[in-house]
Amino acid sequence: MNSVPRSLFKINVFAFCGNQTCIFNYNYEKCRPPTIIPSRNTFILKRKYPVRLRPKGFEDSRPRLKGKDFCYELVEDTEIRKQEKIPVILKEYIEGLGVRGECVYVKKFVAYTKYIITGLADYATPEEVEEAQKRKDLLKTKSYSSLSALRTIKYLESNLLAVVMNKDVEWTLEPWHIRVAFRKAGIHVPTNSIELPEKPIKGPNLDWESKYFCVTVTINNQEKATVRCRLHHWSTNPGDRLPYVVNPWALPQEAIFPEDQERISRLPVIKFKKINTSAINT
Amino acid sequence: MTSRVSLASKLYKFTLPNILETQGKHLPESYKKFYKEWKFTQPQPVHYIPHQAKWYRNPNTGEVKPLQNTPIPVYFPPESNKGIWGGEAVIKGFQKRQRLKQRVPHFWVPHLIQSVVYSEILDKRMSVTVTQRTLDLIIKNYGFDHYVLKTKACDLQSTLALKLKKKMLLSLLKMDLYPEDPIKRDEIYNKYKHYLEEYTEEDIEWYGLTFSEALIKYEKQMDMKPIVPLKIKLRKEYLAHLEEEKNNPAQELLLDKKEGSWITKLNPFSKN
Repeated sequence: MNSVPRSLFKINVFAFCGNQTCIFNYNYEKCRPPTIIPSRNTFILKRKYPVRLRPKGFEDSRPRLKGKDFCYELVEDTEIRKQEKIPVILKEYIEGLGVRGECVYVKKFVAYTKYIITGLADYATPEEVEEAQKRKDLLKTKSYSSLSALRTIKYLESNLLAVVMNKDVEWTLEPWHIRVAFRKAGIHVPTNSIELPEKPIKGPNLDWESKYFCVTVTINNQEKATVRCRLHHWSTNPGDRLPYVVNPWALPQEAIFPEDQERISRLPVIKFKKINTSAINT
Repeated sequence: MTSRVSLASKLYKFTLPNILETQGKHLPESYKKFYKEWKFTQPQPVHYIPHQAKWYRNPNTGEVKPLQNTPIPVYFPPESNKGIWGGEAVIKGFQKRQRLKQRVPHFWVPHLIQSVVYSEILDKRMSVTVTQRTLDLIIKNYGFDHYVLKTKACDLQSTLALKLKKKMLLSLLKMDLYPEDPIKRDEIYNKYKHYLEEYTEEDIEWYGLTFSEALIKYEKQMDMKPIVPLKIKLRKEYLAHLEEEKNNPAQELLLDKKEGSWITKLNPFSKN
């Protein structure tokens, strides 16, 4: 250290980095221009010139370094290394990641900052990873086809589907009619996953106007969701159309087939906007 | 194997007096142990890759040369004591950027991040300045507590980390973690209790103090003990001795008689 030129000790060092500013100011000599360091990383260095060997018997003694021995070359900057994925064990259900007690692999610093520090997950030792794998294998027989399957069922069952049919031309209800109704509601359902009620629904039949019937949708060929639908009649001629009804979805739930009545009442309540109910029945 | 020349040359060299032998001469052994671990131990290589082999053979010429590890000198600025840098430090040196240009002074400074660490023993989340290496080490050791308790003082380096280590060891020793939840307390205590084996109670008391803090602590301890003159102790001993004599005077007399006169001892003609 002693052999480093004295000028090196007299430099004011101002280090700037992103939004955090860290200043090393030793006020040795204020007139010196500051050295600005553009980047800061974990550096692994190597000497450019090999150090003179210490003589036999003095291998453990303090090395006498010269100015030349302080000349370094960069070997590796560890910050550029690719982030590994580490296993973490979840303490609770995290959307899109996994259920409680599951072992998942997440990028290192995301895992640390987002899940471990917040208390959502814990570090996983190799033994814990194995244990979690065993637990998962046991659970596999009961599990759903996908992470979002249960959510999709819940979403479909809490919705009301409006099926709008022609008032003038005769028709029989088919799966593709339901598919179109779903598409109008912003849900894409393949035709082969739609199951209609056993009794055929034929129209136009104005007795069934704004009455309920049930349709079954199969998700991933495994889970089944019951969707309630409401039949509406529509004419292309504006004069023939039925009178306008305010908030038709708030009318009493009446099924086309009386056996469906119980099934419909068992479904979760539809989430509507808060409305003034006094205006409905008048 | 040391050569005779080296041994002989060492004869005339005196090692520099170290701070524990001069100023800190009176400090207790447990502090000296900690200070040696902190300041006089070679830390793990962070900024260089040490040679594994002792010798190196040049593949072209077949020449064999010895290899010696010379650590790169690092500098710990005062700011490093306010964070946990995981052994990283500032390196000052030169860069030779072009062959025919003069070398340029350069500082290699670690990249500092403001992050959070969670200590299970203290049950606290703390915002500290760390480096990516610190986070790496925490993840590698499966938790901040394991990292701090496992790592030597020379590798932790910063006073903040050492103070935290002391706090953890103290709370493990006193069993005052999680005062409201006895089940959790036992669980956590069993998880970390094996770290207590290395330290005695006095070791923990003197752990993590800076040199000046240790001196102040020692002085305070000395002030607490009143200085008792030696005469009080001697007087007590003498009084006890006199009382003993008073209680059994017969024995004393007998002993005196047996000895006889001192002139008998000086007889030059006696064979014994």
